[in-house]
Amino acid sequence: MILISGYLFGRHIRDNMQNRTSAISSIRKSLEYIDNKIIIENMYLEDVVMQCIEEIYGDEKLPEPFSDFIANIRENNMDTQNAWDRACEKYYTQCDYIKEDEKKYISQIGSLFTIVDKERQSESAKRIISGLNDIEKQSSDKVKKDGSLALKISMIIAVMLIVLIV
Amino acid sequence: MNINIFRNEIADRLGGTSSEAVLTFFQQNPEMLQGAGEIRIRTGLPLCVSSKNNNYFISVTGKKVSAENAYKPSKYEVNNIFTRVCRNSLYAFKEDIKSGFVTLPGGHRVGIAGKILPDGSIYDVSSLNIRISREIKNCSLKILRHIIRNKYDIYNTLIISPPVCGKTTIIRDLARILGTGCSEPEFSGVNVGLIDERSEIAACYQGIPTNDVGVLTDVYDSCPKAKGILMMIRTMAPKIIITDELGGSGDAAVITCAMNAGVRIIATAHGYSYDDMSVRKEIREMIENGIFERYITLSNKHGPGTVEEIRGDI
Repeated sequence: MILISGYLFGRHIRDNMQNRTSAISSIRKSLEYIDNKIIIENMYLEDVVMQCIEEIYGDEKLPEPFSDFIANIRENNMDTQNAWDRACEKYYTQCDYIKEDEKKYISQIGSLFTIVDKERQSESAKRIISGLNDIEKQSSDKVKKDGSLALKISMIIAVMLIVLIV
Repeated sequence: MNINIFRNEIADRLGGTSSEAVLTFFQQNPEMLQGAGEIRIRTGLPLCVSSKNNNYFISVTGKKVSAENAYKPSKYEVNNIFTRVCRNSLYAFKEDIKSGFVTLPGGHRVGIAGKILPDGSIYDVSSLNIRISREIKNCSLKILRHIIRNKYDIYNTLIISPPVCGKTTIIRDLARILGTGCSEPEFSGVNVGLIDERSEIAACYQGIPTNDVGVLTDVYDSCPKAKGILMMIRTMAPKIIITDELGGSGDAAVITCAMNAGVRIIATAHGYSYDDMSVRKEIREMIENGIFERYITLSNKHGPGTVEEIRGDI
């Protein structure tokens, strides 16, 4: 029982780390997708975001802010900046593993959609993508390094507990 | 236009308290919707609907009230409506914004006023003017027999009218009839090239006309007239070219070029009468060169599309 609990606890820590990486990776991929579609196909924001949700999040069950963003625009009549801010608020509560510096980058996405000039919008998107990319790499390295360590430590603590009890 | 079309094509797209107030106003006064020409949404100023040559101020509950009691939209609301008109994709409407208007599906034109930046784009939008477009089938029948030369040919025609007198509605219907054919007066449909510089005539959505402009009609949407006419002649071999609002520099040359290619022209120009045209350099040049064989003047005297005068060898 103690051994299983230790393993599960270790895995929970590792999964949280992995989720964080996946979440940031998905947001980065989404932004790249949206940026490319807008630059190349000049698609409307709502259409491109809907397509993005299907392409990037279609099979995964990861939480994402894009569906709420669109709902806020369509149903709640919000402007893009407000709609994104509200969607992010909900998203951050669902993903408590997202850190403050990551939130800063994700929140900036809302202001992208208020830019009239497509090229300027794309430049800003690329800056955010690059920032997210750096965070994603750091996070991925951390998962490799600390994820297995957390699992091992939890197991060791569990074994030690068993020894102590016996 | 009925209330459902107004809701789908305009009110839902604009969103906000202003559009709800106007929608309620039209629901309570359907006759006003029939005659409605424009909806004016100005920051901090009374919400206004023009219908049947009168201005009506609208309260937040959609009632006809005095200017003091009318609903006054905030700057935030006007900006929000503007971004919604642009489908929250300002980048996709950059060129339209520079031209000062965005066209909604259905051909309704939203004029924009605000701070003009050096590159021509508009920032800090302060006023919106929604011009309600109408597709009135057969509205051109009253002038059609003056335009048709024989079963296969027409006269080069210039339609002169001040704004909001129905010239776009009439040339849309002319495109439909000439590009389809009709029995009275008898005309066999021919290939029509429609240069729709402001997306008002065909109201193209993603390149496809949403208005009926005829089965033999090809449309250049959002295309500058001069460029469009030459492209149309070279590529689509039209028998008739229809375009809106002549008078820009270079228009005379390109119309002459179309004439030399054997293409017939139907065009419109802003003005109150034939005499007005003689003070406009480009149009005067076309008149002097005898390009047009028919001049039809419209007014709003008995509602949009009132035929004031028809000139030419009738």
